[in-house]
Amino acid sequence: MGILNRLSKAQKRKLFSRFVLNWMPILSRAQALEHEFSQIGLKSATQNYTLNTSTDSKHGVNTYAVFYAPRSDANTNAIAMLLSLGKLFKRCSHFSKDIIFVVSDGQAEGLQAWLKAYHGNEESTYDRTEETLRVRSGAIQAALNLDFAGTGDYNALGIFFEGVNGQLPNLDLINTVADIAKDVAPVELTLHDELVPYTDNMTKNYINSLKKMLYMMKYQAVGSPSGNHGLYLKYKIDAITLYGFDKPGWPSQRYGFQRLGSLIESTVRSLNNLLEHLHQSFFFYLLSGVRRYTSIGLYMPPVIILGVSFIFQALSLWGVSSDLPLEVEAISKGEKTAVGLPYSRRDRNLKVPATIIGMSFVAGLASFQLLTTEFGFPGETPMLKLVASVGVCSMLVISAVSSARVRNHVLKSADKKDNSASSGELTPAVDWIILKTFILALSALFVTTLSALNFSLAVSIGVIIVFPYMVFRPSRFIGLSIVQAIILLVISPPGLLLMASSFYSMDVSMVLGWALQEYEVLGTWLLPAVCGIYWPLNLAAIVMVLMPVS
Amino acid sequence: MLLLTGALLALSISSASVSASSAGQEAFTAKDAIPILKAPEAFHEELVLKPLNDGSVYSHFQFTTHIGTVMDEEHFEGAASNLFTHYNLFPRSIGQILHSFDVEELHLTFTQGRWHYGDWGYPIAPSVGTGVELWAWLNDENKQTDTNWKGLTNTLSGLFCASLNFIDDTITIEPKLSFRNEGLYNVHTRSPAAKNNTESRTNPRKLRYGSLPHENVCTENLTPWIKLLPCKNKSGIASLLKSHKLFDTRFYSMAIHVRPVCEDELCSVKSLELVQSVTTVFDVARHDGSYDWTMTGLFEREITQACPLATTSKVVLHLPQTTEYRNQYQLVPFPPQGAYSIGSTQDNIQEIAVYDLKTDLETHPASTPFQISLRWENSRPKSVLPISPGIVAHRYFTGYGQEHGGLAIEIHNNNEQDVEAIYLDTLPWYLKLYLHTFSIQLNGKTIDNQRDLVQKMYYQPAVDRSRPAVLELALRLPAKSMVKFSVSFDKVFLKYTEHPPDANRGFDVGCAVITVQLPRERGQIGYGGLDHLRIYQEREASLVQSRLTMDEDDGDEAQVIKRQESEMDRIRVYTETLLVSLPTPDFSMPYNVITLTCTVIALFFGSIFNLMTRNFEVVEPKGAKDAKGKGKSD
Repeated sequence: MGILNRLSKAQKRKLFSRFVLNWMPILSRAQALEHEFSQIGLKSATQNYTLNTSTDSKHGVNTYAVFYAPRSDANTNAIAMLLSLGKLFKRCSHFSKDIIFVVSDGQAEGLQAWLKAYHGNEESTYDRTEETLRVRSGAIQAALNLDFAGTGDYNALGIFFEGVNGQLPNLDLINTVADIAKDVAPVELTLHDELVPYTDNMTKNYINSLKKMLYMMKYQAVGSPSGNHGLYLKYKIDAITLYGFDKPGWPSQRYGFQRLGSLIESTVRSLNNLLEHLHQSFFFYLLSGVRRYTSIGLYMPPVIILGVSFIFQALSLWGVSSDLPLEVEAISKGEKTAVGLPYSRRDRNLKVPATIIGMSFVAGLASFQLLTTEFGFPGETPMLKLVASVGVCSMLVISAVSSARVRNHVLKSADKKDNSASSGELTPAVDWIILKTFILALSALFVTTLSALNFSLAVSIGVIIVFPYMVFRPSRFIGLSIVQAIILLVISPPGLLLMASSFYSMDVSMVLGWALQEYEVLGTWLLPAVCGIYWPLNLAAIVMVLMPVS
Repeated sequence: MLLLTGALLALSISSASVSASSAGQEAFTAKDAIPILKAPEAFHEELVLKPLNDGSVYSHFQFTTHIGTVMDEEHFEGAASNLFTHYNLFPRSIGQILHSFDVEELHLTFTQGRWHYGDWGYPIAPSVGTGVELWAWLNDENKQTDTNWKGLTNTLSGLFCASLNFIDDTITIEPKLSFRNEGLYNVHTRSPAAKNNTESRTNPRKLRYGSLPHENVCTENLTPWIKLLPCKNKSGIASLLKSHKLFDTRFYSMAIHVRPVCEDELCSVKSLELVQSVTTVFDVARHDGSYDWTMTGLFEREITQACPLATTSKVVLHLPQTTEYRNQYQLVPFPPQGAYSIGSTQDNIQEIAVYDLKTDLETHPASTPFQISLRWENSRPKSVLPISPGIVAHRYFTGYGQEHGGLAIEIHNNNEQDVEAIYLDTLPWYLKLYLHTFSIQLNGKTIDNQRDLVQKMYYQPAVDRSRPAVLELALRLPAKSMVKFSVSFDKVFLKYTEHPPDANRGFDVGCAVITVQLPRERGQIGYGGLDHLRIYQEREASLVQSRLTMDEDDGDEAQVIKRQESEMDRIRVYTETLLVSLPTPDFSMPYNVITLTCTVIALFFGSIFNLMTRNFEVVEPKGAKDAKGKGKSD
């Protein structure tokens, strides 16, 4: 968690012994910090909060202090950072912006509580209580989150920048730090917590860059912030985390607190010198290195092509469902000239596909409700809820498939009976074609819309579904249909969950609990998006491949 | 010119009769002892220093110039006719401004930094809102107030090198309850009967108030301010004003206040008073954590002599208030006549040390240059008397995003009794206030019956691009309570030309003002506001008188009660100025688009125009040959 960065080592050790060790109770830790801040001469206070999620209850105490800038025109753009340097800043009279130091308790939820209270949205219900802040400043302009574990020297600084739901801070903030780390306070910088040795091998460098970019896209797609800085972005505060990591045995220079301190001080001064909020349009980018980015103009076309491919197939199927077979039929039954009109359409039977789509969305939402509601019966776990929602969904699939099959059978027998009477009319297109049209159109809508909000999530979903949804169709061989259904099951949310947990060799319930927590504490969209859109489409696709062919 | 004098004369007569009737109730006894006006013009200079609890040192320079406006015959014969024709001490530039714009009372304050009420208590000069604050009472007999106000702002803008001309209709307001006259009969407003009468005077006057929260204050404002002083900064207390040091402080404020005042109890002698003040808070402990200071260390200048033109020239030091260990500091030099205390009750007693520069520097040449130093044992006080200001207010924006927002105001009443307060808030028109969302929380609980708290409410809705929204509330704050108001607003999408060049910085919203009457409290600086000079003099005078009338048992209880009542100070509490970010277009994008379009148009237009206007003809190769042949043949 956020630990201190100090210029004097003696003080650092003192603080370390006092706060960082966890044997100290939360409250007295906060009070000790508060005392330390007020000793420096900053206005400090603490904030209590509690948060009850469906899995557990959290309580903590945040400590914060405000350095009121002497030159401030009271409009107080503040820089919230995770601690210290206060003593140094107090001595300088050149600061024109207030600086807020926040030492948050717990994990993200502590800072979340502080930010909510700072913006006047504090609540006091059973589920969450956030105490009102006593010391305030103005609109926060930028934030630096410092994450330095331990007290030794560090090999390099890692920059974490991905926020909640894939929001990104202004690229200029990262560039500022990168510039300072190049000249003013030379420190090795990298993205995230991976140090890659530089090689002359171009291919290797490209692969390393790709790895870093994928790593970033993973954070974005999951929508989970890579550090506490991610919470600020929602409030239009640009923020990054600076993470000091220390790799014993790594053959590079090691940087002490002096160097890192001057880096942070320079960064704060750079932010202080800003007259305006960082505003140039660098909010959409993919980083493959600290100084290398891919702009939105380059990365958007692929995901749009993905989305458009769904639309094209949906349109062609929509056409197939009316006009095209008409012609084919007319040619095959060459002698019946009465049917030969090229634009006459056969009726589209929308009832069955629309019901299936509607039902699957209901099932998706029901499972979302199931997962997030706390029922309060004994032995209630997220795992159990997941099983319940899988049950709901499989009920839907079974009932939809069986009713479709039964309906088909009934229709067929009816067809046989009045074969002669219906000779003049065309039978409407098969249900699965229309259903597939719906699925594809909705997928296109989903992927393209999402690409503007969270590019990485859109791309990963698009890549997962593009092949199965485009190619799969019910087969005359029931075995093939079942194979398709199994593949679709694998890419369904529970399947992906199982895969993810085995990949990270974690317990399934842990992964599920994490996803729930992200939604409840931070409000990430991953769970709602998956349950509300991705899963229903997947269910509809499973129903589709199991439907009768004709 | 004559007109103004005439008006004042008329006032003086009406109120003189009033105060004569209520003279018996007067709390101020030492009228003959107050030696303020002995000449048609008088100049007083004064410096108040006070060590604050957090180690900072508060300094307040006050330069008071009086010009006799209306005098009774026996004192100053023929002086009245000289008003605004001859300037000796009173600055001509101010006199002319007052005269040409019919100004009765003028208050202009430049402030940089924030005043921390919680740590520092109340200041002597009450206006501490960040930026520039200007308010004036204008004579409205000719119905020229708006023109006069415009002229006044523009002239002051030129005089003080500030952007005061930006105080136009869109930010000017006319408060209904706040910013009452501080001027004429200010002595008598302390007795209720006289107060009622002064307000019912027939002379039509109008109040105008405007503030610029984003105005930076610097030396170019200080220089013209210093030029108004009779001695400039060549001698006297003003020689301490070194801009390098003054602007390297936690708080800096300079002001001019012009107001008519009574010179005696019956108001038979009146004068126009010009108060110039500079207030700073030096962060002494910034460098080494030591609370010790010397005057040379603070100002990097020395006083070698009092201003020769000054009637009085004093340095007043409020001695630190410590709870125990009374002698933990050392003051050098200690004033020869010793320190004495002002204030009557235990709650508001304040020990002060007064140095009279006139006598000290002239009679004891050894003491030049004048020097004060204060040293603590172990360079830090062991215990200080905590300050708890009676009323503290905070205002902040709630919500996020660029569409909606909310405004929250917290007012803490730390007094033991209910307090009547007036809240004034001006919001620019681009914040669309929704009054139906106005809600009140008392100690964290929403209350339904707002009438208990809000006794009067004046609300002026904003008009786009022409006037701001004004919310003025008369409040009754319960004892020991925290009252929180909240209002929601929408943010307006401005036209692109209305954005300032630094559009993404946000827009400043000026501070809200709470006017309140509070009993004087111990440890507070704000002793009597700008009248504190009188308080010191009264105290000295009453000391003299008490020695004279030692055997008379004059101190009856009614007198004591009266005195306590009179020690209510009208205080203004300023909240923070705020910064609001409005939806801002990406200004670089239109630029890109314009450049791109222009390039494309230039390319296409150029080539197509070229193609269309050019006349294409097939050139005959034969003719060319002929021409060549001709040329050759020629």
